[in-house]
Amino acid sequence: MQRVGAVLAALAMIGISIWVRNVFFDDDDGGSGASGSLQLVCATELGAACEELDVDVTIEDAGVTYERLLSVPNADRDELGIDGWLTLAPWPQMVSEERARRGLAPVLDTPTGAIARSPLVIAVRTEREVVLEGACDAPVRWPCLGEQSRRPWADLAGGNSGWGQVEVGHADPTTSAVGLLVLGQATTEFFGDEPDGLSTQDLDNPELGFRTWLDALEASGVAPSFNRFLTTPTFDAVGTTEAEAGPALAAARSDIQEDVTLLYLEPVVTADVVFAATVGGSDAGESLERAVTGDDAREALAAAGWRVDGQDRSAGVRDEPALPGTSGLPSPGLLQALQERWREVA
Amino acid sequence: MRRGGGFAVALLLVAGAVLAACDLEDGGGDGGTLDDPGDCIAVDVASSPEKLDLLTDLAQSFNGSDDADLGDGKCAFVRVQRASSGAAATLIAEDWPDPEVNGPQPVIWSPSASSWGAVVNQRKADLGEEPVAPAGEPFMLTPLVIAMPEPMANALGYPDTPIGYADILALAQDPAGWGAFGHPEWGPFRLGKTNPNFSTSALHATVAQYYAAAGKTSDLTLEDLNNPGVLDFARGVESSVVHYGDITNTFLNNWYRADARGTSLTYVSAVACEEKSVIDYNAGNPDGILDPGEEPRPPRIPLVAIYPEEGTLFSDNPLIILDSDWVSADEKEAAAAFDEYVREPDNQERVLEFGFRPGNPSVAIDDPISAENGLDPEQPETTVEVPDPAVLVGLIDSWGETRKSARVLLVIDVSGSMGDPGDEATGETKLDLAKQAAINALDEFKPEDEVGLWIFSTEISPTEPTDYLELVPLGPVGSQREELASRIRNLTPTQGTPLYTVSEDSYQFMEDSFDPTRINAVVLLTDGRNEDDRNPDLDGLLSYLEGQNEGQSSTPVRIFTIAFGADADAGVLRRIAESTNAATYDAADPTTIDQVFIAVVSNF
Repeated sequence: MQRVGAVLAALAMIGISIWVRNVFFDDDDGGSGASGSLQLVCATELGAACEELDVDVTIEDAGVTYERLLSVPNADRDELGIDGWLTLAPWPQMVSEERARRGLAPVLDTPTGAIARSPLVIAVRTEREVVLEGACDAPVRWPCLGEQSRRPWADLAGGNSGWGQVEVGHADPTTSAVGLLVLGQATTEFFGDEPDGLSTQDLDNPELGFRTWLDALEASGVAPSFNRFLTTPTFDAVGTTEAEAGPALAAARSDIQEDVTLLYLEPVVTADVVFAATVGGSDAGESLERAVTGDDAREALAAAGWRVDGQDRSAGVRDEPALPGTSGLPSPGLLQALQERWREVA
Repeated sequence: MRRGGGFAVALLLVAGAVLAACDLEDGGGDGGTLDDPGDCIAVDVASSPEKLDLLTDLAQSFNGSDDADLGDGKCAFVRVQRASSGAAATLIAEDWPDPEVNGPQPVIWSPSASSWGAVVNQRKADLGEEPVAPAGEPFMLTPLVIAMPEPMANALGYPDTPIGYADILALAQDPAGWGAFGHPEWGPFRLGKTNPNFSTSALHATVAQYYAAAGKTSDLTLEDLNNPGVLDFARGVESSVVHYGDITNTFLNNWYRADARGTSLTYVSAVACEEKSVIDYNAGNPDGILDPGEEPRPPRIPLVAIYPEEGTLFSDNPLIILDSDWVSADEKEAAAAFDEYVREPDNQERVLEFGFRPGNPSVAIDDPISAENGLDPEQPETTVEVPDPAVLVGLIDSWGETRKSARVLLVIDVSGSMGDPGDEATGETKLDLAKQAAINALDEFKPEDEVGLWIFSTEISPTEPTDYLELVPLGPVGSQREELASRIRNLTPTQGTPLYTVSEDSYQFMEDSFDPTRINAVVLLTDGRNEDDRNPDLDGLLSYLEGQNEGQSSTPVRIFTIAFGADADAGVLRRIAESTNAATYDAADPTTIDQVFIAVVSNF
């Protein structure tokens, strides 16, 4: 009797799962995969969370997806092979603006609001933070790091010649979703914390000194992955998200935890996870949006270190500082311009 | 013209235009993807870029409307493609080959000015063929003006006193310069004017200038062009030119940057450009194109438009329904329906949003054509006639003789990477391509122009300074063209790229021997980035160049840079050029170097 009950229960579960599949992920939804399944592209920084989703996932750097979406001719918009993009704002807006600038039709719908968020932080070697503060006569922020970049530590009061030169950096802003945001934050701080109204004229005005400062800031090249930063002392300070740094540092051995401090900068600038469906995908985009904003996805994002309303924080992720209403980043156009300026100095 | 010969000039006029076309235009043809006209008659429009957005909007509202209903079950469907005026002129004259590459054969052609239609018809006539570009009605208008900073215009009596080319001539020839008007701190009068082989506004400015010199407003003749008084007048005005070039945006962008530094009054005193450019400049968008991240910010010192009292010309943006073989009667009927539609008052009011004047005379001229933007909607009071094509060609020939002479130092990178492949199809190296382009460009100088040749690479010279070598000293091209060509032909790639050292030293060399009667410039071609550990100081270089270029009594040398190949340090080259108020040119695709070199030499 128990065996019959188990079989019936199993059949019922199969039936339910087929119903769920039909309702949420049915082939009729028009997914773009060969089998009609939903095709999600995820920015690398969101890869761990995306792998938990029950959809076909391609994980790649945001810059790769960006270029891919820009290169799609109008006539091929229905054959993208992608139903949606889970990434950080404002990368989808950058695609839309650049396509409009090139006279191309849109390939992305308006992105969702923030599904998950994380403040941008600077991870700095603890004993060197104090030296930098002294050199800058101010708390360590991006303007200070640019000014001190590549200076011999021996020249700084309290510095140790064995530390070599001040090496600071962030991920490649032309490929990494987070790298671009960090560069945007650094630039905003350089100009006085107010992203609204920042213009390329400011970037290029020699009297404001941005190019010189950027040259110095980027002199050490692209920062290594955060885990490598923790384990090899080649860089002294790197910019990233709390989502990446917090859990990694919390999981690190105690001497590393003591060696590295996360600086939460004021005003807080955030990396916001958004989803943008591709156009012309019938119901696929909507189905995918339900998937990436559903409980499973939110749980997965929280587990990966992102702050998600109503979800428990992962180890190493704090409640404070509270996140502001907006990201605090410059406009998508200015971020694009920053990519160009970065290419020139990198 | 340097080479002489009217037909050659006409060819160059068109070929040059392929590179840069019109001042308000950027870029060439853009095929894009065509919308499906369904059962309607497709009307493909080749539009110059400055009105692409507007025409596209109008096409979208037209398609499917009652206005597109042609009766008898027929309807029109308009599709707009970008095509710069010069590029389209060449294609139409060649019967629009290869639509796969160049976009569909147009039914309607809308260049920036009717004179382009005359150029096409002249080319057809030279081939013994019938004209294909009938006169079209103006769609939107913008007059050629002399843009001037307001304080300078005020010093000349603006807005109460009419100002014209005669005043410019007098000011240009006055040794006291702006001192004659109580402002010695502004230095000499300096004019920014582009090259009429490339630029619609320069062509119009040159036409107006010759009419002013001849004391006419119509019927300019070949005899007028040979009148010594006219030639002296033209030489006098040209003597104040800082340099020429392919697009007025070079001047407007440099002016705007100088304004941010508080030095706009000593960069140039006036620029011959279209009225629309004054609106854009004063709005803080000097080239009329908002790049990503660019926020319009009004300049400290606004410009005003001076409508030359002797008369000026309009860019009239006609919609020309082509008489080409590929245009059917049905397509002409459909095109005429669209032509009528865009002239409706509601649609004509939209051209004002773009800074143009309506082509429909029943539509009032309104904002932004206003005094607040430095314009006068009542002007111009006098317009001059577009000369006959033969006179137009003769005028450009004459300009080639009267234009300001140049002293140009060609500085060519012969570092090892220049030996890398430049054209996979032919197996030529980057240096091979650059050499041929440089040799070809020598033909674009006039015999009196002085040209010298340096090459640079680390350890290229056995004696100090070791980073560069003078192969041919500055001298008249007429007498040393062959030597220059021979030396260029024999160049071989060697070692590294001491970019900063050669930039500074070549500048200094030209400044030390500065000739105020000529355009003094360096053309710097490189495929790499600075590889000289002995001189990594970019900030020092830029600061030096900026310092030397600013001020009333500066002796400005312009460094025009060419970023050659994909590995060139384009950003640094742009900054070097901008720090001398010049321009940088992009030859990331090495096979384009021939065209790029010609565009660079258009500055002289």
